[in-house]
Amino acid sequence: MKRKAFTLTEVMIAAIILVLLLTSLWRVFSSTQRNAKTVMENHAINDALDRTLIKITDDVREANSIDDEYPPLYEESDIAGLKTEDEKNQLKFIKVDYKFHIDPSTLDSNKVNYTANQVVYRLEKEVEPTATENSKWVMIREMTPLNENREPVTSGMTVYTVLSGIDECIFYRVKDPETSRSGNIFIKLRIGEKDKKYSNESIISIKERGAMPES
Amino acid sequence: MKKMNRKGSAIITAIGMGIVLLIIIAAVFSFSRYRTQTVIQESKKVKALALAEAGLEVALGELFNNSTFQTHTVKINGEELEWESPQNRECSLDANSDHGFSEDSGNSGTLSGSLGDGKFKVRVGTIPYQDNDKTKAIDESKAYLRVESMGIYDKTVRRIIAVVNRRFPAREFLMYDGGILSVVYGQRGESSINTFSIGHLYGHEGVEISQVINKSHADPNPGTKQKIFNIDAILSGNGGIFFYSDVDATFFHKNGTEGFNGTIPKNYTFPSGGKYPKGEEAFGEMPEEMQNVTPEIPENIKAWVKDKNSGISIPPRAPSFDDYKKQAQNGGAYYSSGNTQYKVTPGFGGPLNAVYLDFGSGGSKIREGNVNNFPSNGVFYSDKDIVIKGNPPKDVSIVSEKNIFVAGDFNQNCSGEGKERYCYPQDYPSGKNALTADDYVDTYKEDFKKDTEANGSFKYHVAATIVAKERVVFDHRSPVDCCENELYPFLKYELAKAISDQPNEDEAKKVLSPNGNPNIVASDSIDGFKANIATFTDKFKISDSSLTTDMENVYNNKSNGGKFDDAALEELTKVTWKAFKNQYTGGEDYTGNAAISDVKKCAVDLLLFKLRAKMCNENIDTDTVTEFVEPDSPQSIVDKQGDYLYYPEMTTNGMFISCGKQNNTFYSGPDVDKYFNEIGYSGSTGGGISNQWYKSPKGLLHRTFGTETNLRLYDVKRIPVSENTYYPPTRKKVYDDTLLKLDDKDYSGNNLELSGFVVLSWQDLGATEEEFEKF
Repeated sequence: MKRKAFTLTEVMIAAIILVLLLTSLWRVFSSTQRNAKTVMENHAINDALDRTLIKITDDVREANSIDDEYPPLYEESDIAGLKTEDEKNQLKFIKVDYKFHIDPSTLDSNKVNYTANQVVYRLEKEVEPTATENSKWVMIREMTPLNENREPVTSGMTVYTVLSGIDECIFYRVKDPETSRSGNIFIKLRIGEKDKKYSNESIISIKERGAMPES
Repeated sequence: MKKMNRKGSAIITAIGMGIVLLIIIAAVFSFSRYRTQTVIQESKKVKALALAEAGLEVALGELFNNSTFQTHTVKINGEELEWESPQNRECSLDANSDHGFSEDSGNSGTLSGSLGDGKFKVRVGTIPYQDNDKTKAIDESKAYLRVESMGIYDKTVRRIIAVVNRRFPAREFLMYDGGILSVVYGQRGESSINTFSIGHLYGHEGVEISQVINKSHADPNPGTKQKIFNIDAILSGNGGIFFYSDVDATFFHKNGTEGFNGTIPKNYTFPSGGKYPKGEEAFGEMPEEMQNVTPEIPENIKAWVKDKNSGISIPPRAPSFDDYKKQAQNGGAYYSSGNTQYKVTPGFGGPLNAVYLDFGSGGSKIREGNVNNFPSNGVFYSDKDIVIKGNPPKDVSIVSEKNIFVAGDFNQNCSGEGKERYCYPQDYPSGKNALTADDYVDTYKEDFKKDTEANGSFKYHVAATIVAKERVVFDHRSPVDCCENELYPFLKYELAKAISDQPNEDEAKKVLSPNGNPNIVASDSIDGFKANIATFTDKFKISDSSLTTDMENVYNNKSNGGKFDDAALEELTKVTWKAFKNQYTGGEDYTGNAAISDVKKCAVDLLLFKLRAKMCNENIDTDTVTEFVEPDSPQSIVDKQGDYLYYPEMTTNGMFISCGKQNNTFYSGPDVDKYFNEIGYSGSTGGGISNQWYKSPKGLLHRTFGTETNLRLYDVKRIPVSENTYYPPTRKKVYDDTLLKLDDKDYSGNNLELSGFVVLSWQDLGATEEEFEKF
């Protein structure tokens, strides 16, 4: 019995079709993978932005006194012109660690039942061998204990990086006679991947909830 | 045709592609699901946190309505605060919300409720501290509350743990202002010093403290100074604290810091020509340049002086007039209309249909008063204005939907014996006098501590709460009302001299001594006595036939052939004082507007002039004094201890609460005459009387033990400066912790108490569904 076989032409055509199919499949797969990677990277940016803002939000809400100069109070019309590198672009506040289990009346007259720390969020340029004006920013959190005269004790300072890769970060308050105290703290934060088009920006408003001890 | 059996890879390829597609779909689905779940979870956390915050706010709402509200007791266990026993409680919040708010039924322990699709549970309890004696105005045993609140949305739970500082503005704050607290009292060119002592000074929108100055801080002739003496703290919840001039101050020692005794330096120059965006310049608006400004506070006083950056914010909140009214209608005294026409300055729109409440002079028995039936619960409420003076016999709450005029001495009783025969002995430390001393002599003030004794038989001060929906107005026009206890014993002395045929200063002086036991020998004939009293009435420019008759009756019925012992002299003084008052008032109950215009011919004023002269020179022959003689300086007033010569002062003690907005023309800053909620002497337009002695900085002293609260909540009729001006008295505002209600150790709850709550610490924590259920 004569056995039929594929002709060379058939094989060639099949091979070409297969190659085309695999190529297109690869392209689809590859493209999807790239897109997925980008999405994941963007998602990481979004996550980093969210996490950072949530962390600062928690920090500020637990604060007991926000310095009225850091950040300063601005007219609404001035806000668009604010820059990350502005000297007063910092968020400075005091967090009191109350020891409510200690009855103040049982303490010696020079003691109180709390300790206080000064917390500062500030920005600095990323340090890299070829740092340029276009380098991104790093957000630093410093916490410094205050002594009994409410002066910072720098030897006890702890510093860590909260977030890097920041394109823009502005701390500000807005003049509004209707708001209580100095109004809410606003934070504008924009981060993105280096040399890539994607970036995310968020503006949040926070108000501290606690108060300083009266004595 | 036979089917060909051709082999190929289509199935494999299809399967492969399918797998790849499945992987992609699974990856996309997984990613989407992860993102969706993350977003949902974050959303649930936010909602759960909002519910937990709602629980905290519900607890604060209940506390606002009833400052003693608590669900549990709290115990300190090592380094932890723990919930102990559930407490009975009553909830008061209405469920009239568009957001599905409701509180669950139950009257003990954890308070639970719902809001929208979620639920919350909250506990509140007082942290068991001891009262700290160093802080006179605060009772720490009731000041700190632990609040724990949980919110659940679906199965996500958040927990908030907070500690709240409970404050009582009217009970802790020497002066509380819902707007800007202005401690700039006085006038240009005057050397007087106002004293503000103990307790807190609070201005919600800011505080200004300054000597009266003018001409853009370059006044060659500055005026009245303010002295901050042993104040607990100066606070602003929503503004800055401005010192336009150096201010002498002492602050209490507090834990963690030494006390302060020195001068607070000027920290701000009031802007001249400032802008006023609201156009309210004349009614307390700060210039735009000062808004949002928080002047630098020197480091060494930061423990006591705290602006808005400290977060100690106690916004003004209205008292419950409805509840006061109900109390007045059930066991109190309720007035829907007045019982007199009260004459006031044009700015107040009088005469006013007012309820006149004179509680009498108390132990001194100089005056009976008109409140014959004191209500069982001590609550007086009027839809109209109220006028008050005198010494209430029991704790009292006086509430008006309009104004309350404090038209004379109020709430400082005396035993009527010994050194307290005519009033509390208003003596000052050696070398000081009423104007130069910060307070009464310490040894006498010890007596005030009797007020705090449970079941004490006598109290100098009762717990007096005075609440006006518009204004509490201090009316210091009339020396008859404000200075009766000072003038009366001096009149007795003058009479002792006048009725004697041979005036004997030494014998007359016994009248001024608590141990004097005077025995005055008048003429042994009625004609001789008549001649002497004619001289007396002529000297005091009083022509009153009934007075002459009354005096003759006393001679005939009380004296022993012209020998006046103390009782007879007392009777003579009573009838004479009554005539003096009638001459001054035209016979009306109150004396807000004098019946006579020429005060130099008025017996009361002549008596005042002579008293003032006697206090400057105890050896002066007062018969020679016919006009006001201004002392060289406040220091030249000799005010010996242990006699009945008292410097004329208006004494008003209690918790005075006004709810109206600023109504007098009232420019902020240090360089204008400021008019507070007061009526006093004005030379031309104020409608007051022409008492020359008021004009002097060494004139009237207004002393207040207690607190003054201006909530600034309601609009009130505005008063142009031309319709209520006056010469300001020297002020001594002293928080006195023996004054009942201010330091009420047995305070067991008063749901009408003004209260405020400051969240000191706030933590947002996670929790499980199980923990929520068990809470």
